[in-house]
Amino acid sequence: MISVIEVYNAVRDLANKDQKGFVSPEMFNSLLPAVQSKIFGKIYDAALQGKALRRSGADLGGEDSLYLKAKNFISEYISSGILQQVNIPSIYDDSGVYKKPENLNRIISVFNDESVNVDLIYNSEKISRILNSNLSAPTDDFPIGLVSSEIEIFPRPGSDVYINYYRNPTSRYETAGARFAAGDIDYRRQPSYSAQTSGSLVIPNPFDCRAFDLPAEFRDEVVKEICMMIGVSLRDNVLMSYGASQQ
Amino acid sequence: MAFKDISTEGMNYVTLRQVMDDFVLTMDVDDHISNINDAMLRNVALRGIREFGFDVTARIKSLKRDIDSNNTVQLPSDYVDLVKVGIVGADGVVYVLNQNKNINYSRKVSGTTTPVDDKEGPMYLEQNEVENRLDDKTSTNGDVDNGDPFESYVFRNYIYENNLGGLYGIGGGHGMGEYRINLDQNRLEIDTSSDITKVVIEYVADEARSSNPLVHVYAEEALRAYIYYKLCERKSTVPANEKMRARSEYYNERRKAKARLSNFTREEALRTIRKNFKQAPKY
Repeated sequence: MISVIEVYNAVRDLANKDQKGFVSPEMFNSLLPAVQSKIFGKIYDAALQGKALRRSGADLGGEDSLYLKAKNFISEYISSGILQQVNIPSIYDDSGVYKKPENLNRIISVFNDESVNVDLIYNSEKISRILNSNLSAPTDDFPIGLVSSEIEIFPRPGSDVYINYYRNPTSRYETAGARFAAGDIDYRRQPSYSAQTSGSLVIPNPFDCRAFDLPAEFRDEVVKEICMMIGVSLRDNVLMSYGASQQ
Repeated sequence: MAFKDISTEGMNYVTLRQVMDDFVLTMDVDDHISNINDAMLRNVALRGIREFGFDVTARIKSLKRDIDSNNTVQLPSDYVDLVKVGIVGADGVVYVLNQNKNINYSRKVSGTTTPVDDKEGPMYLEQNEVENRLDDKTSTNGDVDNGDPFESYVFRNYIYENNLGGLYGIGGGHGMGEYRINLDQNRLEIDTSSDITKVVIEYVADEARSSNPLVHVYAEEALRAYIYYKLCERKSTVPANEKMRARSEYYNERRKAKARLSNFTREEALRTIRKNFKQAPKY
């Protein structure tokens, strides 16, 4: 988790120290979903870099491995649930159509309540060939799922179907409240900064603030990314080049 | 009797699912084949099981089938190759029928041509139409020697007290009947005495198309080597030396599996040798 209050203060001090009012909370908030999405993509990039290092023999071993570090970051986003069946007419017989979870980023696995894994196919061109194959045709022991805008499973499952997936990042509670602890995930909101003004003073409201749903290691990246965006907005070359050069 | 899943009754067979799960489990992110999908993996694994089923770990199935009215026996749906066909005696031993490649299984043309969608021709094309056929195993016209044409082939070992055919040792080649494989109609043509109504067929089955494909533990490692070899064989990103290494690893593992499965024991050797000690008539 990255505190949105700390990030706001850092950005304000970098961009706005002598020109109070340029970075308003509203403007700051409008940038946060895009920044979070970009940094989330960088976690996958880190995994790719770790893989390249490992292949070249340059990655550190054991718990110091960069690849494992990136995988550890990604594991924060693993979620699971029961797939909801939908009544959509299918051109194929004997299949069940299921709705993807709303916050789905990438599917890890789909399985039934007997832990039989559903083999996932992303290529709709191949599914009819698979269904007609006398070798690869899906069976109850080897079901196949076609992933498109929905997930269509062959043959039609007789029981609940579960999914493990990477969710999209949302936000985390900045501070503990009556029903949640600091750092708990708020699935409904994106990160946002909230403040109350008292005269000339601007006081953050931590109960209404939502922190970034990103690993703390990426705090510096978040600040720089926001600085670069604000630099573009303010036509401030110094701020823009600071953000761009440091990445 | 219902299908019996032998994979749950012992440790000598491993299911396809176990092999696939183990393969994915041991796959690392920097492997050459780390981005394969499960459907491809299953297809290759099944082809491996099929390949092994032919000459490494053949599972011989035995099926009792009725002889149809036209002296034929339908081959089982999972039939690949015949091991033996025979009848079962009261002693529980299968008395095999001899193969006779001269048993007639001719058919005759029955008028109209086959519609294109009847799957009779090699392809569903109009130019490949063939005439309809039906079985016709009656004898052809002309002179036919109804005597036993194979009489002269009987080896008359010993004549006792002028009784022709009083044999001490009977020559080989006698069976409880004869059969011929008719692959055109996917059946066996049987020639045996009329009171035999059932035969037992022992055959090599296509393990890849069974409901629960299994592989013997001796061949498990060979199957894994086969999967890896086949998966990287056509990948342009895999170096040629790795493909060569995978290929030789597969053939080595296959050789080891074959050696382990062909368990010719000392007792078997002794039994074969002792069979040659025979008593002879004394004068």
